[in-house]
Amino acid sequence: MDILLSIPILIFVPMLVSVLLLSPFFTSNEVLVRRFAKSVFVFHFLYSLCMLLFFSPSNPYICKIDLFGMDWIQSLGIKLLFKIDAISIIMCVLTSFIFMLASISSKFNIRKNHKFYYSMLFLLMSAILGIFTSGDMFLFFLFWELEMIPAYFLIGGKWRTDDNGIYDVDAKKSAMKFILFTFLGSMFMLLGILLLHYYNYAENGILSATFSDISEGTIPKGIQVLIAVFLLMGFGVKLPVIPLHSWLPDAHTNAPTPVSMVLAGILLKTGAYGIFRFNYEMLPYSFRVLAPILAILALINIIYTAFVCYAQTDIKRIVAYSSISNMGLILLGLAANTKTGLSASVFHMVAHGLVTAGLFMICGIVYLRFKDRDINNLSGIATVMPRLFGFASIIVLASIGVPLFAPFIGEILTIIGAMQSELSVVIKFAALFSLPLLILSSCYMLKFLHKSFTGDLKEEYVKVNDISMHEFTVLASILAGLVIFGLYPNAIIGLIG
Amino acid sequence: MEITMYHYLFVGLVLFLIGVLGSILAQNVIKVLIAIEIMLTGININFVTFGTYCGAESFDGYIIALFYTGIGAVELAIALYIFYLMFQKKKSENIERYREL
Amino acid sequence: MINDIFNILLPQFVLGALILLLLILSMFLSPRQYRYARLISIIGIFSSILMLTTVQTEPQYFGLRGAVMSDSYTLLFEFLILMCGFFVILVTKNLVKTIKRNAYSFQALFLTALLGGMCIVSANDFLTLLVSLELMGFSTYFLISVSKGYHSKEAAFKYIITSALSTGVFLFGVSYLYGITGSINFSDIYEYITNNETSVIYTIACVMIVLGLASKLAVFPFANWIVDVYKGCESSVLAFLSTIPKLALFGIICRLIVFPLGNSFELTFVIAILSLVTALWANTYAIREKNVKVILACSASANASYAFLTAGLVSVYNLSTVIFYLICYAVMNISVFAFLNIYGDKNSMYVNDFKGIFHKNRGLCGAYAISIIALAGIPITSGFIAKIYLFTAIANSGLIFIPFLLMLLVLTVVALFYYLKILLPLFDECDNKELLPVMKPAFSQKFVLYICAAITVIIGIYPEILIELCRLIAYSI
Repeated sequence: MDILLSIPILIFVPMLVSVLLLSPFFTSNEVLVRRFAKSVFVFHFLYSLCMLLFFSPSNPYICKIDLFGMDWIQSLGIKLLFKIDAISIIMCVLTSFIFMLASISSKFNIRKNHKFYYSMLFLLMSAILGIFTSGDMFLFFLFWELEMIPAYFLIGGKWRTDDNGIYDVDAKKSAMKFILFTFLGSMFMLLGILLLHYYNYAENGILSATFSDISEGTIPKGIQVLIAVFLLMGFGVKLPVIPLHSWLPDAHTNAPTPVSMVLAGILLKTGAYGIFRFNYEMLPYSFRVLAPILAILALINIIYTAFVCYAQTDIKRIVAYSSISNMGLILLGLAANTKTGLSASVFHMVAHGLVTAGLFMICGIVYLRFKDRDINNLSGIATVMPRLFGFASIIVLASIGVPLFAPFIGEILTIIGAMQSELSVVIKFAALFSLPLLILSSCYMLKFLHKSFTGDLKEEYVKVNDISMHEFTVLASILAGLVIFGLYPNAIIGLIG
Repeated sequence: MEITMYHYLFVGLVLFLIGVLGSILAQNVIKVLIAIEIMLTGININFVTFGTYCGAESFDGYIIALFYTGIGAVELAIALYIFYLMFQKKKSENIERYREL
Repeated sequence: MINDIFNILLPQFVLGALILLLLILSMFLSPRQYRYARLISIIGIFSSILMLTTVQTEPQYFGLRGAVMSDSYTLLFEFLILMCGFFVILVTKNLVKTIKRNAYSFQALFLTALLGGMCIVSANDFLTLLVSLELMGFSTYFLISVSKGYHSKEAAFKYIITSALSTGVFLFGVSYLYGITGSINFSDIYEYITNNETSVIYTIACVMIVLGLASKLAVFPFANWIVDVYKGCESSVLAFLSTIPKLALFGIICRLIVFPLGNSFELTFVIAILSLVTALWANTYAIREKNVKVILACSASANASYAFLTAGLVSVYNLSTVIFYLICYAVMNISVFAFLNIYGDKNSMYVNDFKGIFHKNRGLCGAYAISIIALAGIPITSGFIAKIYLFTAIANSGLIFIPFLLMLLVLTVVALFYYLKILLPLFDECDNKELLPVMKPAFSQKFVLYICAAITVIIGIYPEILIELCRLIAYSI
């Protein structure tokens, strides 16, 4: 079983497929490429599901790759070490699932350069899985940087034939913005990693960069906080925390639908995962020191973005801002520094990943049919697309936090976890004040639903078709996930323990 | 007044500074080259002085001064040749005119 | 003396003999036989590499009354210089074709520059250093001005003036150092400064020496030449200019900082500040530039300043990172300039001129893209490893240098911006793909481009062996 269910297959098979798709020998037949990619994604999802089934938290998957009997870079103590523990496996399965949905929904959104598109999608998946599974700081950083290349091309590429050209230029600009912001963040992170590596070596005498070998114990307290701040700046760009968020709405808005699903569903979670892996686990002292500040930042994220969101008229922007708001909730759960808070934030990562993927899917479907994303111009979609309206209303209700669906559990658990926190009163206050999120989110999401789906339909859109089989599959599977985790949250919370 | 090592060094320093400032500030290409030669002279005075007063056992200072004189001459020759090639196009000695790049 | 020649100087002498042969041939052969010039210099380089095996390195060997030395450190740098020379000669095909009449002289000058570089690395006193520095310099002036047209002459002239000025500054420092210690031999100076107190004059002399030498690396006070020279220069000569003088100068600067200038604590800070200013200048200058060659010039200056900063923080570990960085950097740079050479120097080099050429020349542009992202320091390339390895060295040098490191890291983001500016137009969509140029490179040019890109990727995936080598070399200094 060890050989069959191993981490390298999970990570490197997508990378190999990506290279295969990029090579000139592979067929450039559109249908074949799409079917091939889709089937690989489905198999990958099944594979990761198998890994989840055979996973036991007491016995995490660990894999160490030695090249010719040597570590990767011995003189720095960098090892090719991969480790999947409870949180990693949840994120891996989520990644695999969302990518599968994205590939299914790519059929109508991607009209050009199929080989390159799927190749980049595989590369992105490989890099994200690498982030979730790497057991070494520098390896983590490698995948963190690697993810930028495919993300750039996916956001900024020209994948449609029928655009009027305006979105194309915007897409390039926002991809550049994304890459510069991310790179800036990752440079701060690199500084944190370098300092942590050095001080761990100087104080503990172990030349190693693996997570398990790092211990904060003897590092001077001031330097710990410094390192933590640098690391948080890196993750804060990805998360995003408010002053560093301005890349996100542009990137999400201008990317094609499947890419938006992936970005909001998975890519943002890497930031939260990084905070958990580095700050929460390795630097607990400085995390406790910084937790109140993080809680306040999270509160600002939640409240400020909710108001900004209400003012938006572009439906994709609404969803993008709402995901910033929700990431604030995840950050609050982490900052609480309690067991409930942690499991709540992991749970909310999954729940929000599903919800936001569904919402972006709906936006994509609407844009594909009506060529417009402004809620003031859209109206009466429900009369021609009743099935979409059904899905949209359920997913929107889920995202607001109606019981029965996963986000409700995530939100409530996060607030409970934050209230239990014994670190500081600030966190409790933050939890208390983040409760209005439920109201605010219902304001903007219901506005979105109301304005675009009800009312009178414009003349020229009478002949629009309802959702197709592909779109139905995607929305239905997201809905299934939401309901399953809403009714049985223990599937995730029990795994974290 | 007795002439000590420091007097020679002062002359060397002054020549060197004149050379550096001249080569930066001069507007005429030929003047720039002359300034570089003045700088060379200053350095050579330094070397010879130190060779006389400090490095008594060896002739290192004198040798390096000799070599540098030769090197400076070659450098000047190359510079003048390449300047000649440029001059054929511009017909001017003003450094402002050689700013096409 | 004969012993010395046979023990350590055979590579240099073989190269010298080949230079004489080329000069003699240039008088007798007709211009039509220009093809053999490259062949002869490649033979010269390979015989010189063969002769490197005869060099005695263990223990350190001092020859010609301590004027030259050899250990595994010099051996590595000589080997690197020769290998870079080999690659550069392969890409000079187009250039040699345009100057048929002077092909032999050109190759002779090129080998002279290599010889100068090798002598710089193995110098053990300031006189040898001066002479070999100028040996390299003189041939570099001609190499820059070799291509047709006015621009190359102007570039060469600017380089000469800067070079002469910086040599002056360097020698002025040397004269004071000579005055303080009474010797120009590195070993003697090192002995003197370890046994005696040093004064302010010593620090000033050290700073001037380093300033003078660093001008060839385009570090701050004499950095402006690099823009003009890169703009006016042929790209195959640029492949030379951006690698070999850099390798040679870093080789000697690292040794100088460790030994004869090692007693000056202030020097470290001067170097750090100068590098930071250079990095700031170069990276901000490149943002607005549209000419690819100028952007690469700024990147050369910036990269040199990163390595220079690390070299200034004297420690064995830092030395190994500098060597590793230089190797990776030389490989990437040769490949980048090989691509520009294939693209053709007659075409204008503005960023937008490269629009969409990826669609017609996938292999070549792919290799070029790998080299550029390696320069930017993105994973699976050697640039990523080199950058991380270099920055660990700065991070390990103490808390005082953390602000410097922070600045460098932020500047890396700026650098990424202009590298992307070079790279992204290649992949742009074009309306009529028939008009795009199809490049038809000769085998040798393609060979250099692909081999260097392949080395970049291989080091990026498995750097361990090279890093071990660098550490070994650094410990043996």
